[in-house]
Amino acid sequence: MKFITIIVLVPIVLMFIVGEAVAKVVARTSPTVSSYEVFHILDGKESFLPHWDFWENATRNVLQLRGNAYNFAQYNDIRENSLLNPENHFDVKEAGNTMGMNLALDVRPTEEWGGFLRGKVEEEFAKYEFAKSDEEFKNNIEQAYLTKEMELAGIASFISVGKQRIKWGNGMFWNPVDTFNPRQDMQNFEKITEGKVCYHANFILDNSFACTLVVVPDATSKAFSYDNFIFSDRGDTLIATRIEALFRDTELFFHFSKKEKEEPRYGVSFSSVIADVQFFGEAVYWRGESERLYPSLFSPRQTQYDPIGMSSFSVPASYRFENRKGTFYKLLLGFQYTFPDDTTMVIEYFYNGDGYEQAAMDLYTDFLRYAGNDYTADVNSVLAAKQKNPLLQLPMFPSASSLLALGNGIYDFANLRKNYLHLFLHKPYVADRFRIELDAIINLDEISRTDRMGIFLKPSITYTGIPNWNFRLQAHLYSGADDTEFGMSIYRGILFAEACYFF
Amino acid sequence: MFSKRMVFKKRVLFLVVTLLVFYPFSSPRGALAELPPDGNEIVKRVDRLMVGDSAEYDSVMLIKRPNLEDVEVRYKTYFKGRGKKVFVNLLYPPEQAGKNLLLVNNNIWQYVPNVGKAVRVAGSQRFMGGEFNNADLVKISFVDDYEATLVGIREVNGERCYFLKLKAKRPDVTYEEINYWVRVDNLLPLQEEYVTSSGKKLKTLIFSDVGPLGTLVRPRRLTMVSALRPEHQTMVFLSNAIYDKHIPNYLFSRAYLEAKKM
Repeated sequence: MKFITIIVLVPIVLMFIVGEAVAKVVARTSPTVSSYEVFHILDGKESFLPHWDFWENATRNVLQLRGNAYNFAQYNDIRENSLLNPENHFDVKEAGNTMGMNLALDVRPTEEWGGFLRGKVEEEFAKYEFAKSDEEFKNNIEQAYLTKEMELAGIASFISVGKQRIKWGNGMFWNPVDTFNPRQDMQNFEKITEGKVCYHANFILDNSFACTLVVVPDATSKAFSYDNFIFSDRGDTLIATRIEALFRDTELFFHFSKKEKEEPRYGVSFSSVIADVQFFGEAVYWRGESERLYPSLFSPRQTQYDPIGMSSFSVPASYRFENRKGTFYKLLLGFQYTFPDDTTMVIEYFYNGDGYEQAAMDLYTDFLRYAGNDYTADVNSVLAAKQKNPLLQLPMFPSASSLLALGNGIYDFANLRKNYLHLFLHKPYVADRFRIELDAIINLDEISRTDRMGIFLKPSITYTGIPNWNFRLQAHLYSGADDTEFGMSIYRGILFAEACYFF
Repeated sequence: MFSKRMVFKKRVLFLVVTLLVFYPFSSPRGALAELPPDGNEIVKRVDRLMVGDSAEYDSVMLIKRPNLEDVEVRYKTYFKGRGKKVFVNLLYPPEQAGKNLLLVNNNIWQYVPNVGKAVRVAGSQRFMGGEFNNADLVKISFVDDYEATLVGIREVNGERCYFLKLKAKRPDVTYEEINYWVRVDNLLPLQEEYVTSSGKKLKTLIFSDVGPLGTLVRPRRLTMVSALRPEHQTMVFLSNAIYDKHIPNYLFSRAYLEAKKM
């Protein structure tokens, strides 16, 4: 009897144990066992969830093509007699239409290797009130890089090489610690910024500590580009590193960057949550040269007479633009709160240690007033103006490099002054269909006199009722006295209307 | 006195009777043999059941809004550390793909492809306009955030449930109070009702379609209904669950969110 018990019971028990184990393994490896399709019957319609294949392909990400196609119309109200555009004496209107497409290709043939390519094509049509219409086709590769994931000494490492976008900092509008994107394009906040050719390595120790190292072999100066380049001599190498740590609800970042012929920069940033309010801040410090060129009066305006003394002519004042030397820092502090109705409010204060004090701003506006359009155009116009006007050849006039830097003045509102306030309000899902936003930037240095207060406003409303479609109406409004930062803008206002489809 | 055969028969009989007597009191996985000492114990056991040490799910979310096309969202969710670390990989629709979410302890970040970095987001903010908010999506464990009191046993839709009241331990927790119904027989949740401290109902989450989800039996459909706007519903369908899978720690870091980029 014992013998029968053993030969019957023992195999049953063994089969049970082995069977359980096999079932578990099969369940985890076989899609037909671990996945299933679910009917969901809604409003009388039957539909299936995506089968296993979708999930396998989606997460393996072998080849993914994404992007968006857009069309936006733009209407510009050009300010008359703007200091940055003094040749325009009329209240001019311009219109334009741009059709374009952003394409992003993500290739991941294996778990470790990947490649990413992002480009844009655009057809732009512009109509000017007092000039001929213009049409232009543009295309650009914004990012193109290879990535490799690996383990180095037990540390998860992500290396990417190529033209890639890197964005540092916790602030919303300003990021003093962002070595790679020192200027914010106020014409287009959502602009997907072009990348830089660099080596980028992320070392992630665990979910609380990570280190990033970036080497930009050629941090060249592109003075006419209002994109994201640091002004420097051609060929400078930039090395930047960031260490991040998470302590409970607070993140801390420590930044260091060094360009070949410049002093190093040190930065720190943080973000934290206290009682549903997010606080964030950034600070950067460096010794050496300022980023901005400061004006100084080289020689005052003079009246000169011909040798006989029969006639006189006026020689404009000349200005010198130079970097200052000293110790500089920039500081950002802000907070963000989301109300129960999903409205998000962000308030940021930015101290720009590199900005103009009032005396420098007065000199700058004098320079613009008297120097005319010659000094606010691109290099070709500057050289042409110099050839046209022999007086400009004299050494007393600003050097070519400072002129090139100032050439950005038309488009680059890269914080001329020292103290700014940014207010952002965002309300999504209004009537389930709309998203409303308001950006306001106030130059606090120009707030003391009401007739001089400069403010930039950007209201927008977007219809989001149709999945994957956005229809947006947006305005940029520049207000202030003509010698204020926003008041000297060549635009009084810009109106955008955009339709965008995501695929 | 007794033959060997009789002794053997008695032993078998004794074994059978013992099994029959004690079997009803044995504890199949997840169920409780008797009333637990307090609500916190129930919540702890439910969390352990639902979350486990690590898991990976595929999910499809359907956001229903009156007079508008339904929004379908597909994403993969990775859990680790009993829900203290969650990574949500958004795959569809194209407009939202790549805007991945990360929870580590009480911090939630979202990667914004247009900006090129991860930003902190509020847990209370609605996810894509549906009835789930960011915290509902990533915070799945109640143990650390709520103090639970067992009120009693109620019957809901023919199912016997423990009825618990959960009160937030800290002001930064998403909901002030939750009314929580947990099935008695298998300790799976049936329903959660989110209320304010004044008793005003905000929304209800219903767990249904209990069945095989990977190797375990779990609710496979979650339905969130707004109390203020009952015609607004969001459903989440779970599938392809894998439990106790090795998920590396670095997946749950802000740095990874930015390193992955897409």
